[in-house]
Amino acid sequence: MMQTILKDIELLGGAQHSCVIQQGKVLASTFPDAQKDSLSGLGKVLSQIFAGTDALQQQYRETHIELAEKQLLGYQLDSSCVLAVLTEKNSNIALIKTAVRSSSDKLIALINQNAPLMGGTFVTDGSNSKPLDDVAVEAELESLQAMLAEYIGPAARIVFARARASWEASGSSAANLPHLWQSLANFIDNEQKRTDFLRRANASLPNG
Amino acid sequence: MTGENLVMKDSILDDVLSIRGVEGAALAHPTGDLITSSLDDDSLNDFLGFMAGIVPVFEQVAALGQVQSVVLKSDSTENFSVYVGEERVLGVLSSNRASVRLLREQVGDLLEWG
Repeated sequence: MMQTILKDIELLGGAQHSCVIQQGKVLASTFPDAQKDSLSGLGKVLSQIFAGTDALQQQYRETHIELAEKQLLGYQLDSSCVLAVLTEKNSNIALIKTAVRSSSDKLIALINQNAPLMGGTFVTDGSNSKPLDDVAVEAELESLQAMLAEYIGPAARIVFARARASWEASGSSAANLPHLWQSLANFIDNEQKRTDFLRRANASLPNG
Repeated sequence: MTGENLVMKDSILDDVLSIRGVEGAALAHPTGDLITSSLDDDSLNDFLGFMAGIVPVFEQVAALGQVQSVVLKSDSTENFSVYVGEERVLGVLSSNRASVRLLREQVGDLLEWG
């Protein structure tokens, strides 16, 4: 059903491929198989961009990313979910936007219908499934920010504040801490350091 | 605008501010450090630094090629565009009634000939 909606959007305005991504998980996609591996990261970064605008206290829910030969349009469907549409550079964006706008309610309804419970008070990682109280969560967050600063320096303060705002906007507490540190890890360029950060973050949970 | 070896002189800000619909602009180093700005809102200057950092991440994870610009659009407030050069990142705040495509072309001309 979600796939059908994406196909309908692509009938208009020069859209080539599209996908719906929720917190790094690709829910539906018409991208070729060769590109599917990169969609998760793409969705995470789009979510980060929208989360970054939260600090501006202005409503930015649409972004156009101009590439060398194409253009990627990103739409924030809700606080945890984005729709990405790859188009030709001179596509009729107004037409695509209208199609997206008329489809977004149906997409959100389908996402809510199919979504696993994202809330709750338990960390979703199987090895660390235990409740965390607010004090423990706050301590964990402070620890994460300090740890991130070891890898990216002073920029950690800004990056962390925005990633945290996004995480909190997604209605979570301790439930998806792994999503928070996964999004923070995206800001570490070096793969080995990124892996090291994720390992340390996972191990830093109380009794983790 | 080719997106390769774009030239952004610090003086580009004055030229950009003369474009119809432009309400403010800022220039930053790719590390996010602000060079100069006409924007009153510090959070916008911070956001430009944030975008300077996140564009390379996008290029790395999305594997769709080099990013030339990013536009954040709003129906209720000004649009914010970010143009990515090799040594500078330019942020432009513009009326949401002004054409984003036209703005991109005009800024592109300044970047190529700047």
